Amino acid sequence: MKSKHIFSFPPYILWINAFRYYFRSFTQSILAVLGVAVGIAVFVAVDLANDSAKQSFRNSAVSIFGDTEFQLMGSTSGISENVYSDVVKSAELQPLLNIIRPIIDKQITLTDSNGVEDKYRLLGINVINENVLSGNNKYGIDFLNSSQTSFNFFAENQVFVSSILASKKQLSIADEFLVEDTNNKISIVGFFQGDNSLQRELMQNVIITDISVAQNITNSNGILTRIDISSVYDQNEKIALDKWFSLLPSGVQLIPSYTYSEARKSITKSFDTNLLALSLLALLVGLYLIYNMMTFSIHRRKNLFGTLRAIGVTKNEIFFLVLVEGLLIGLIGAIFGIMLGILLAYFLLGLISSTINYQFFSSSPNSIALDITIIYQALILGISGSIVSVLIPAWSASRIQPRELIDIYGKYSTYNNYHMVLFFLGLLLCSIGYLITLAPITNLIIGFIAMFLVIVGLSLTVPTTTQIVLLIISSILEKIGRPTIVTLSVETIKNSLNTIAICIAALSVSIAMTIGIGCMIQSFRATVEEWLNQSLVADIYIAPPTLSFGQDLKGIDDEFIKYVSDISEIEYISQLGSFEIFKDGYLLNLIVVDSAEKIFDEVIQLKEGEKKDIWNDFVQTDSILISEPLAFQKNIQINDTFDILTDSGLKSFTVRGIYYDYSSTSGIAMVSKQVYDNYWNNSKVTSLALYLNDSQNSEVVFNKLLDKFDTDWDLQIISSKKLNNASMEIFDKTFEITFVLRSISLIVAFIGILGAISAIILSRAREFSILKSIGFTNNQLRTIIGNQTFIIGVISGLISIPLGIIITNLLIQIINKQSFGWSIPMQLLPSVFVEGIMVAILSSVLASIYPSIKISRNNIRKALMGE
Amino acid sequence: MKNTLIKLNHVSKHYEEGSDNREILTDINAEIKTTEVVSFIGKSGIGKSTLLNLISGIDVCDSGDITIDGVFINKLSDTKRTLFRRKNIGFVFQFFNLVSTLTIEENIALPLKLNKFDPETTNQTVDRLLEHVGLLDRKKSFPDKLSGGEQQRIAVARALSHNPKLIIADEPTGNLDTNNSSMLMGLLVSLAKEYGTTIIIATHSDEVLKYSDRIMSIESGILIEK
Repeated sequence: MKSKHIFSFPPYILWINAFRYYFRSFTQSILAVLGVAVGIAVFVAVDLANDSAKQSFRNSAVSIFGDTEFQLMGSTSGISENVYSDVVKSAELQPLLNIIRPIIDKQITLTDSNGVEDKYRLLGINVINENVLSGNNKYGIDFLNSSQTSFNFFAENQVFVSSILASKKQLSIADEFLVEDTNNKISIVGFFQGDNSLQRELMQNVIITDISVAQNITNSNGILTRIDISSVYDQNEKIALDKWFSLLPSGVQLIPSYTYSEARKSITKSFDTNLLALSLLALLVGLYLIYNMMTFSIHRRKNLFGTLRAIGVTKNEIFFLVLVEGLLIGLIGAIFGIMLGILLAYFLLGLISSTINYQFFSSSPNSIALDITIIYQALILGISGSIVSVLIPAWSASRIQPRELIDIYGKYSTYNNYHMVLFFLGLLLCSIGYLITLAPITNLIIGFIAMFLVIVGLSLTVPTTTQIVLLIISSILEKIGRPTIVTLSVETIKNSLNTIAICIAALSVSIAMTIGIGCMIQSFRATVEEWLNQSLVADIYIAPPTLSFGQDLKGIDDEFIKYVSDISEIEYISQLGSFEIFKDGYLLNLIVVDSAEKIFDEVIQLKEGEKKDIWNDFVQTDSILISEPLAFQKNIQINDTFDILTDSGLKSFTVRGIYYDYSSTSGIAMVSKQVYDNYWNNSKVTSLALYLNDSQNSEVVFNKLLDKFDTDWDLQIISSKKLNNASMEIFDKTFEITFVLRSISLIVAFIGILGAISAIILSRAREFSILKSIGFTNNQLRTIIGNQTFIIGVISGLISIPLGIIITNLLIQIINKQSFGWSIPMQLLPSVFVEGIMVAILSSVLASIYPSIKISRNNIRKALMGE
Repeated sequence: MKNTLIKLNHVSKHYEEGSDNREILTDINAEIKTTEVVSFIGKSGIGKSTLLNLISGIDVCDSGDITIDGVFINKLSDTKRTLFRRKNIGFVFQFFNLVSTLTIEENIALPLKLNKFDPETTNQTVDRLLEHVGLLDRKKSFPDKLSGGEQQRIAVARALSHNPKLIIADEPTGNLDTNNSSMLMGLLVSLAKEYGTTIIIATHSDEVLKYSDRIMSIESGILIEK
C-alpha cells in the first residue's frame, strides 16, 4: 500500500486545476515562460551563431580529400618540393605515387573585373602530371566539361572554380581575377564539383589549379604546403612508404590528418569557452527566475495546497504536481527559447563573425547552420534546469500543512525564526564559494559551482539584510513622525518579507550578473590599455591591421624594409616575424624578434623571469620566451624545455621567461632573430617598429613611407597612438558580443522582476482594497506601490554590489583565466555599480506600473470578499 | 446502541512559542459515537482547532492516543494519515476553501476522484448532492460566482461526497448570517444522518449548538462535557 501511494499519479482533476491556475494567471505565466525562453534563447543563439561563423573555418580545417590519413608538413616555411620530386625520381618509391598528393593550400585575396575583392581558398594539385582531369581521379573531384577544353595552364594561370561558387557569383569560362599579393592575373578554364555532398560543401569557396600555377601566383616556387598521404592497403606501397619515411629530411613532420584539424579548431576554444560561460550565466539567471516564479505561484496557492492536503492529497502527489508544472514551463520556455534563439542567432552572427575575423581568421558566413545537437542541448538544459530550479518550491509546496488553514492565528508559522539560520547558512555558503575562487583552480565547472554557492548564499541572507534595511528606514520614519503613506509602504514590505525577499534576491542576482560582466570587461579593457601603453613605445609602426598573431601573416617586402632603413630620421628599427607552427597537437605563433636590448627591456613585460639575466641568453643560446596564455594552458614553467620543429629537425629550447601578452589566446613563443637563423631557413618580417631620432619628425617620415608604400599590402603605417586606439577598437569590437549578452541578461532580469513584483502586489489586492474602501485614492495607492517597488529596487541594488564584486572576481579569475589564460587585475568601476543600482531601481519602478493599474481598477467588493 | 467511532485517551498537546512552552490540551479523554453531532466550544485560541487537527490526523498529539474506528491515527505516518483522511474524513472550513479554479461540480467530485470512484458513480453522487444543496443548476459555475452561503453549501457537499465516517467542521457558520447558518446546519446534519456520518464541530455559534447532540467545552486545556 505504501509504495502504491508514494508514487501514485495525481488524479487528472488536479492537473486541470493547475492548468486553469496558470491560464488565469496568464500574465504571470507568460512572464515565467519568457524568463526561461530568453535564457534558452541566449544559449541557442550564441551557440548557433558561433558555430555558423566558424563553419567556413572548420571546413578549411578539414582535409578536403576524404581518405587522407596522414599529412607531411614542414616547419615555418612549408615543405620543399624536392621531398615529392624524390619520390617521382626514385624507382623504389614509385608505388607511392598512387597514395601521396602534393598540395598547395593557401588563402588568397582576388579582385574580380568589377573591382570586388574576396577571399578564396586556393588548392594547387598535380593537375597536369597526374592527368586528374580525366574522369576518375584519386582526388574524387569531377572536372566538368574538361574534355572539351583546351588548356594553357602556365601561360594563362588557368584555374578551375567550384560549380557552387560559379553559380553563386555567376562566373563564366575566361572570367579573370587579379591576385592581390602578387598582381598576377588568373582566368577560369573550367568548373568542378566534389563527388559527395560533404566534399561539395567543403569546396564551396575553393579554386583549384596546377601546383606550378599555384606556386607562381603565390610566390612560393619550390615549396609545397603539405603532402597528403592516403590509407595504405597494398604491401608494395607500405614498403615504399617505410623507405620514404626513412629518407625524409629532418625539417618535416608526419601527423595524422585529424590532429591538424583538431589543432586548428582549438584556436577558438578559448573564445568558445568564454561565450559558453556567458550564455550559461544568462541561462542561470533564467533558471533563477523559474525558481522565483514557482515559489510565488506556490505562495499564492498556499490555501489551495493546504485544502488539498486536508482532504487527502499526499505530500508526494503535491510534490509531483508542482514538479511537472515546472517541467512544463521549462519545456514551453525551452521551445519558445529555441525559436527565439534561432532569430537572435541571425543578429549575433554578425557580431561573432566580426570578433572571429578580428581575433582568429577570416569568416563571412551569411546564414545560420541549424545544428540539431544544439537544439537538443537547449531542450535538455531548459527542462533539466527547470526541474532543478523547481525542486525546492515543489518540496516546500508539499510541506504546506493543512492545519494552517484551520488555525488562523498562525502559531505554526515559524519561517521568521529561520531568518537568522538562513542568514548564517548563506554567509557560510558565500564564504565557501569565495574561498574556492581564491584557490588556484582551473576547472570551469568548479568555477560555476563556486559562483552558484555565492549566489545561493547571498540569496539566503536577503531576508535578514532586508529586515535590517527596513529597521533603519523605520527608525528614520519614527523621527519624522511616521508619515502615513511611506509608513504603510514600509510596513507592507515587512509583512510580506518572506515573498519579497525572494524577489529582491532574484533582482540582486540579475543585477549582480550585469555588474560582474561590466566590471570584467572594464578590468580587462584597463589591463589591455595599460599593456598597450607600455608595449607600444616606438614612434611609428608598420604592421598588419590587427592585434592578432593568430594567423600566418605575410611578410613585408624586402625592398620596402631596405627603403625604410635608409630613412635618415629613423634611429632604430625593430623587426618582428610571425609564423604559425604546429606543436604536439596545437597551433601557436612563433614570433621572431630582431631588436636591441634596450628596446626589448622596455617593451617586454615579464610575468616570470628576470629581465637583466635574459637578454644574453635570448640572443646567444637556445632560449625562448613564451606568452602567459601558453604557459597557463600547457603548464609551462621557467627553465622548462620546449621542443619546436625547425628546418634542422626537432630542437629543444629553454623557457627563459613568461611575458604578459593580450594579443593572442592561442599562445606565442618568442625567439630572437639570431637564434632563429641558426635553425630556420625561411625568413620574413611581418611588422616593423620605427624609433625616430626626434619624435617631431614623425610627419616627415610618414610622408616618406607613404611615397613608397604599396596600398595593396595588408599593412598599415600607423603612429603608436593610433595603433593603440586601433587596438582598443578591436578590443571593443571583440567584446561587443559580451555587451549584447549583458544587455540580454538585463532583459531577462527585467522580465523576472516584472513577474515577481506583479505577483507580490496582486497577491495583496485585498489589503489595497481595504485601503481604498476607507478612503485612499488611486493616486495614493499608486504612491504606496511605487514606494514599495522603489525600496525593493534600492535594497536589491545594494545587495547586488557585494554579489557583483564576487561575480566579477569569479569571471576574471576562473572563467577568463580558464578561457584565455590572461592575468587581469580586478578593477571595480563605480560607474558600473551606479548603473547597476539605477537599473535595479528603474526596473522595479517600471515593474510596478502594470500592478498599479490593475489594483486601481480592482473591484473593491470582490477583493474584500477574497474573490 | 451506537458504536464508538472516536476515542481520545489521555491526549495532550503543547506548542513552543518562542522560549515559552504553551500547554494547549491536557490529558483529554472523550468518546464520540457513530452519527453523533458533537460541538466543541470555548474562547478563541483555547485549543478547539488544535483538537480538530489532532482528531483529523492533520497534527499529532504529544502523548496519549486517538483512535478512529479502531485505527490509532496518531501512530500512523504522515502519508498513511493523509490516506486515512482521504478515505474517512470530510472537511468544512470557515472560509469555505473551495478550489477556485475548479467548477463547483469538480469541487464536489474532487474527493471522489482522489478515492478513485468510477466516473458514473462520481457523476451520480455529484448530481444528487447538488440537488440536495439546491445548486444543481450552478454545477458548471466557478466558486467566485456563488455567494458565501452557497459556497459553504458546496463545501458541505464536497465534505460528504465520498461518504466519509467523519466530518470535521471548523467554524462552519463563522462567515455566514443567521439565516444561512441555520440553513447550512440543517443541511449538514440532515445529510450526515442520511449518510450515517459523525460530525465534530468547533464553533462559537448558538445556532450551531442547536443542532448538536453533545456539547463539550475546552477550558484551560481540559475538555468538559456540558
